[in-house]
Amino acid sequence: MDKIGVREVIEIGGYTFNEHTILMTWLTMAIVILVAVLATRNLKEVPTGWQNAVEAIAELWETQVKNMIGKEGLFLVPLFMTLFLYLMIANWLGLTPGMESPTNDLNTTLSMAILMTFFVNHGVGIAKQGIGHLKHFVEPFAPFIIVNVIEELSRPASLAFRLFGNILAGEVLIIIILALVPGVVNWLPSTPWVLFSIFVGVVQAYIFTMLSITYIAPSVKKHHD
Amino acid sequence: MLDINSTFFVQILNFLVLLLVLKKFAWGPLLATLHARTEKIENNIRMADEDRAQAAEMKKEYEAKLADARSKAQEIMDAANQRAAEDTKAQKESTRLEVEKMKETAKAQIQMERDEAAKQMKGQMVSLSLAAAAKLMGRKMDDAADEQLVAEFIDGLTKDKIGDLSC
Repeated sequence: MDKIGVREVIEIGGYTFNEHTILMTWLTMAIVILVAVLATRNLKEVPTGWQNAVEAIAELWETQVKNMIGKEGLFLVPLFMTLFLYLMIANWLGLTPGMESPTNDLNTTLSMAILMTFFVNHGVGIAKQGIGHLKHFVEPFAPFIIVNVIEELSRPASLAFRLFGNILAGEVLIIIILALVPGVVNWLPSTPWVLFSIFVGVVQAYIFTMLSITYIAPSVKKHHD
Repeated sequence: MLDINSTFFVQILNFLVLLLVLKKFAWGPLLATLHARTEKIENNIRMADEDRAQAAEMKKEYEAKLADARSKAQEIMDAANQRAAEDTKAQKESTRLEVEKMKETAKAQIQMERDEAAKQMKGQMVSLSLAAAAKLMGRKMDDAADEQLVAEFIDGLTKDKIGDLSC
């Protein structure tokens, strides 16, 4: 994103792709894989360094899943660990000069939101409860299908727009602050904002993952009701 | 700015690839290590609890044994004291009897010596009396008559008294 609101696209076989978003996503994936390799290349019983840090993240999501879904949801922990690390690194990437966050593109945030609230949610629900999982759309009774469908659509929309808005706004503000303060000291006012954006990046990744667990939890738990 | 295009599907694909790679090569082994450690720690804590309980039980047992040993030692000491007291008493009794026996022997000895002394004194008194009488009468009585007279005199004396003198 060289200019605010303008994305460079490429056309391949009639399909349009946001070039920078995809490149930055691959970079994000490479960084996440690098972190994973550093953490797991020499697994020790007493963890140190990267293993320690990634184990802390694993324990965080394992605890959240146990509390919100129960032990039957533990098979989803790798998914939430990946989602959190992927979104966090993606959010931070835009804070590096010359780079942009894949999450400042609605394609990324909406794809993640729909993947979680639709594919994973209903996939797990149907896998656990069969087609009966879908009857929650007509609960407590049939006319509620309208409300339930709106709710179903609002979930990915809220997830996607929250993340997209926060990250895009953060990056836009960095550009604006740098533009407003010309000269050699233009980094001075933007530094606190960059530091705050690091915090925002973690918080937004956490919120996105947390809400995904919340949305998916009933689909796993209903099986045992 | 809000365009949704084919990037949407690429992003889903990207994430799924990342998820599969990480799950297979990273999170699987990492979570296995984590769970193994958790299990080990839980086992260690459980074993430590069991050991602590066992130690407490052993301590209780040892304390009971110690108390029992103390009690037995006390019993042994009491018995020894009692035996010593009984020995002392027996020894005292034996000494008393010995002393008593010695006293009896001494008494008998004294009586015997007294009798002997009295006998000797009687003989001497006869001789002295005869001598004194011969001197007073200026004549000597014949031996047979003298002895007869004196012997009667002496026989008239009581066992415990010689004349008016106590013996």
